[in-house]
Amino acid sequence: MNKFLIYLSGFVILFLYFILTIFILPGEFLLAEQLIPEPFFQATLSNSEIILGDSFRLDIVSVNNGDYADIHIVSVAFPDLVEIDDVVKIATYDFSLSPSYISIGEKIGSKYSGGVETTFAQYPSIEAMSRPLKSNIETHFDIVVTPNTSGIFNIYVKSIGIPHSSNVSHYPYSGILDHQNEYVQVYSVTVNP
Amino acid sequence: MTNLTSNLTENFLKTRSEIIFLVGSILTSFGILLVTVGGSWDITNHLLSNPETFFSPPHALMYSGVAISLTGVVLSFIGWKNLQKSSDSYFLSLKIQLIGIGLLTGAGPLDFIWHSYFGLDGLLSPPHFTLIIGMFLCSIGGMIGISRYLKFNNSEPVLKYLLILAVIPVWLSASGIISSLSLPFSSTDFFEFNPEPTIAFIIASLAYPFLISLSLTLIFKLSNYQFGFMSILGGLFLLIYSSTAIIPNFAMFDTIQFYSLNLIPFIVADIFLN
Repeated sequence: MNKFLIYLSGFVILFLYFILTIFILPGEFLLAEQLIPEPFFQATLSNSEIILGDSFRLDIVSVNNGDYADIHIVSVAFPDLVEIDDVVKIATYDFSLSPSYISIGEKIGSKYSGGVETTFAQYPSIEAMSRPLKSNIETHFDIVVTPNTSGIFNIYVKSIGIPHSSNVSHYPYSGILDHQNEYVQVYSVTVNP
Repeated sequence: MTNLTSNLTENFLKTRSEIIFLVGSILTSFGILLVTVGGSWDITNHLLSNPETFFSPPHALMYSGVAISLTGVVLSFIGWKNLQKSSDSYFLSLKIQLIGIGLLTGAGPLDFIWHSYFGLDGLLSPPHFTLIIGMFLCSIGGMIGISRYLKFNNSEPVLKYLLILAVIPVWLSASGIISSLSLPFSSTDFFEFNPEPTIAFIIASLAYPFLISLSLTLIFKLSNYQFGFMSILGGLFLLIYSSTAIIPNFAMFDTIQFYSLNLIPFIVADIFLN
């Protein structure tokens, strides 16, 4: 009798285990709240006007104000340049991965699709990446720019958190669209001859 | 009297050599356990953090494991060499350990050369596969050494728990072989080593259940059908994988409670079979 009860209990427990594992737990897991990273940054220009040959500095402090991000990206693009060369130098950098330099013609992701949709770069950029980034941790990305032509020198800055699970998983939320069809903040410096 | 002294001396030397061989086999198995735990952690680390340096904690754990295994194989050889009449009983274990450690240590420089020419590789590559086969053979050798010692000697009952240390690296390293042949993490700029999805599905679906059953049957038989060994082995396996694949990922932390339910089949099987 004891043996029978033990075997019966074992079968019941196994039956419940398989019901849980196959039918209930997967649904429960999918219902779990998805993490929503909220990247944000503040960028400061050292000068709004310089003379050709001089340099200016752009200091960017970024933070993840939302949930844990698998990947936190700050991208700095130069629509007025053909190549970065010696024009842009990184002064401060404390992201966990090395900066990634993107050249004109390189295949890049677009529309916050994580690489599903792609396009080709129309101007060079530098991507700073931390992987992962917890909430409220600040990261710094400062560049020194020495333009080699006079005129208006523009810099496009944006930040993206992955998983890109919401409209607040990128910053800025609206405004000008770049070559990746993603919103950017524009910082401009007048370069006088 | 002279014969008695001679016999006593012979027995003492045999016992001492067998103990040295046992310690060597234990170190080999423990070393491979560290390599497999480090390897699992390393996969998670690469997926989550994409590290850019060779010097990472998982790599440190793996290379420590290799060093410990190498020490174990050397000790096993020393122990075997001093055995006289019973050397044949332990030769198979030693032979497999030697082949395994040869592949394991040879895979290191091979991997370096491969990286030099082809950059970072994925999960499956010739050096990685050499490494995994070496790990598997070392763990098999260690297991045979430990189980043979326990079989031929009337050891303390507590020493039977060494069988868990003997079997778990075999299970983990074999899991590594199946993973490398079924996971799509092996595509690089130079080579496409990703398994064909249908083949990968078939391998994973058949091999994993077979491996789990084999590991549990092995520990059950080696422990002389003792209650508790399958539960402990299964629990240890779950502990290792949750520590290396789930806990490092903050987003997956809540799944631990679901993952731990997988202990149920191990315990139920243990109860049924006893």
